[in-house]
Amino acid sequence: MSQRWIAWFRKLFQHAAVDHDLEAEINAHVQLMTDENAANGLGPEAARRQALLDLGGVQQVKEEVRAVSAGLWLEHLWQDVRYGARMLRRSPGFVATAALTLALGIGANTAMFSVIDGVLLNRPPFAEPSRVMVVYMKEPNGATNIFSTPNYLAWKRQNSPVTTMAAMAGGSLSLGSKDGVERILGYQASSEIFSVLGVTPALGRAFTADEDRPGAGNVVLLSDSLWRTRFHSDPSILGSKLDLDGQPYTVIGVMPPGFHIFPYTAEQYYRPLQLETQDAVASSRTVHWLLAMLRVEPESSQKASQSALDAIAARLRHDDPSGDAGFGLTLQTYQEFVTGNIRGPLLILMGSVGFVLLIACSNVANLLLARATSRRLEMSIRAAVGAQRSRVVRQLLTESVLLSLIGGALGLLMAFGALKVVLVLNPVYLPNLQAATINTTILVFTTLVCLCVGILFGIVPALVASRVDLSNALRETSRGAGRSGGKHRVALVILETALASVLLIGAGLSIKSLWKVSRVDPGFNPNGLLTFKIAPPGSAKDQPYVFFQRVLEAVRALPGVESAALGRNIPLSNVDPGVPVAVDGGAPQITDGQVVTRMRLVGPLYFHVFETTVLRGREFSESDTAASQPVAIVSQSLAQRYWPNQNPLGKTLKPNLPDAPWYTVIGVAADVRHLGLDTDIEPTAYYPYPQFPKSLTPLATKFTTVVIRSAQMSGLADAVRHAAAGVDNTVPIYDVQTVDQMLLDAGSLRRFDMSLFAAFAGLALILAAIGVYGVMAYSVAQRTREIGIRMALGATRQDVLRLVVGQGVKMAVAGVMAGAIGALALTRLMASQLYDVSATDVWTYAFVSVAVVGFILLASYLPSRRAMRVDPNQALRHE
Amino acid sequence: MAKMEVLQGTLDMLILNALKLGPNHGLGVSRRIHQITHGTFDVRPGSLFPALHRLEDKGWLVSRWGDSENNRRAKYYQLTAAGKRQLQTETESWERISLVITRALRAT
Repeated sequence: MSQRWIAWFRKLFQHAAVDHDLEAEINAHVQLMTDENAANGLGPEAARRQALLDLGGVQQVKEEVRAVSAGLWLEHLWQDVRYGARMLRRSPGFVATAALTLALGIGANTAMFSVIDGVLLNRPPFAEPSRVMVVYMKEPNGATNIFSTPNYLAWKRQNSPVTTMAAMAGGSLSLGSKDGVERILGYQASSEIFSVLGVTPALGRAFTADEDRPGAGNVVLLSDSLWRTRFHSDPSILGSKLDLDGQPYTVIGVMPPGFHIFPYTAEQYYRPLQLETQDAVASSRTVHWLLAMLRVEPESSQKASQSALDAIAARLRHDDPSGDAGFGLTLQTYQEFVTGNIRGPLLILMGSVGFVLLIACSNVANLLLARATSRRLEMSIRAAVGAQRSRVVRQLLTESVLLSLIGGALGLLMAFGALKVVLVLNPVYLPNLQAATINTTILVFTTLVCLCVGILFGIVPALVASRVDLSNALRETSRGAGRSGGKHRVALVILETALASVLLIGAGLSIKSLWKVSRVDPGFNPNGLLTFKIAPPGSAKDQPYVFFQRVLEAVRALPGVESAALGRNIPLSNVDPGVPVAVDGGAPQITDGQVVTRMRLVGPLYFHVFETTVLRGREFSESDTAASQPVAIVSQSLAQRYWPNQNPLGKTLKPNLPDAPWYTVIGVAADVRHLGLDTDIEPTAYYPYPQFPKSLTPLATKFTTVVIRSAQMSGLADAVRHAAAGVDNTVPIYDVQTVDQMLLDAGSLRRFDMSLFAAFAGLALILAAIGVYGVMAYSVAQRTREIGIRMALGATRQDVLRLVVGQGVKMAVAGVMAGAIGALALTRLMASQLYDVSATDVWTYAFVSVAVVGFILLASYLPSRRAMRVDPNQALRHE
Repeated sequence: MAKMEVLQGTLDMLILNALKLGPNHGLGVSRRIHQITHGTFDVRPGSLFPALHRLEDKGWLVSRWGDSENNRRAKYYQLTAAGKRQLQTETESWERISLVITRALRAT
């Protein structure tokens, strides 16, 4: 095959030499024949004549050879490209308009595809990532949950195809150095994590199963970024000791650059899980704190692994009927786990941006159709001198692909800019968005898009232009009526109006959802709240709550601070622990499909600081101590569920935790949107810090959140840091942020989605309006004579206006109706993303339809003014 | 025997066969085909040269300039290894087909 390629390139680039060679070969042939004829007794003249006669003409033979030549299509392509470039150079205005239109469409698509490529197609930093699965426990109520220690160990003990199951838990540690302390995030993981993910440290070694036992000593692996920034890439870090939470940890390795277990948080360290099976947390079946992952066998599908797991579940249940009822496991691919919730919205955005490109294509196709009319003379001449229609179509398609490549190049520049804007919008929960860049994949994508698009918008105009009726065309002037193109133009305008309407309806629904969400009452007042976290120092391990209170007192004493309170898992902190409760002396109720009661640990004044209404009773006070009667506050929805139409005050409840007492309800608080404005309300029980079960206190007091209400926010963070350091300067405060910011972060994905959707819809509307304007302006120019005659016959300017605008209205209404039908079919796809808005929301449909018709009226009104100014005398003299 | 136009597709095979004995120029190939088919096929330059170039593009022939027996410059074509293989396969398949068709036509 390589010889064939050489032949092609020779024919393409050494065109003259190849041609010369062929001619020499044929001449030599003639010479040989002449010699032969002469040898047969003919005279020199006659011999040569006979030879030429036998040959049948040097040029003809050359043409025959060229027609079979391997490089022929390439040669034609090259001719077409050069000719096309020449044609385009001659009409810079047309090229600028078309290329800019295409650039908007292709640029938006390139940018959006970069986001998809970075976020959805991003390859996790593992070996064979498609085999990595996240494992969940199936709860009896159908919900999924992460593992408790006994559950995890029971699974691990099973001899199964999933022997390499790894467990992990996220956390944070205070990294101490002579410059001060810093809180860093990371993971505790079982030693199987390395084989499950298929990674090895870039430096040093992974921790072993022996090091993953309780009491095996403290070892830690660092992330590449921590190693680079904090330790200046110093390889001698291996074997040295780090101060983590006041304990010495031996550094045994550094992970490869770009490695992370999950892309959401900046992970800085990895240490062995060292599961203690004896302490209260680890032995509890109801404390679910371990996330598990496993690697499925290459040949076994997810389904096969799932059925193997189901079999184990049945066996475990048989061996230990006291375990969680209805217990089972579900598998989810890692990719699904990380991107499952954002794939839908991103794909819908990709689809919308595809619509924008289609609209841009329609516009350019319209321009080409108009141009086809003015190129009729050129086409006729080509046809007259014998050009095949297929050859002419190919030439025109080459031209349109050239055009789309120019548009694509401009589009790439626009995509660069657009990506910068997208990164500024950077929603908190869109993983790997930083990976969205213009890389080779994107360039290939854009080139393919350009080729497809060039053919897509070029084919109809090319077919129309190449259909030449020779006898008429040559007689007509190049300013012919071009009736055949008119039909296509109207169809294209209706199509793009319809596409724009679909996008606008989608964007409208998304905007309305955002508006509805913004009006949701979170159940607290987020304004003027600052929060931070703090972990107790080693010296306060026995009395963490006392330490927290000292920090709280110091903060309360700061000027400008109105009130402050302690809380574990405050709203919008993204941690939402739940535990089933028993009420009024009964057993815990877990029924199918029911939400497990959420659990919060709070201090006095918590509701006061959050401005969450206490509807009945009182909130916790300093007098609710470890020695006093255990008390709890329940949310309104919890009271509704367990004690409908009864007074919940004085009722009792007990969380399903080891050595938990019965708590007496002393207050009912308003419901709070814990995970964000657009999330469901779940029944919640609040317990006071000092009355939490002793066995769980070490877990519950690993850190606390302090919430401060202050009229003055500027400088508060520094003042708080200073105050906390005054209590103990060995532990840092971390995650310092305003609740306003947390609320913004919680809604950032929805806003991101809405912003892009609205931008694409706006772009679509503008492009469609430009399209309508172009077609109307062209049509007015074409109909100047007709309008002149009408006016000469007594038509008023109003009549002319009605004539032109009427045509626009007809197209707009047809387009909007088609768009509404399309939207009915398509907006169903986004139903799950809508909040309190139906996918067929009448008001959105009506508003968008009216707006689009109005916009298109405007676009057709401008050309109609020119029509009204037509002077009948001028117009009729025109021909 | 009357002269026939060469069948489409068999020309390639005839050219490859004509070059089996050694390199030759266009006229030589034409004469050789005339000879081995006992004058049945007459290949005109208008079919010969396109075929030679096509076969060269496919990599079955290579060409170079050389001197003819009476010291004229001419372009000589030579079978490549791929060309020899191609001739072999074409000959085999032709023999099979012609046998089958002959039988089919004689069958009643």
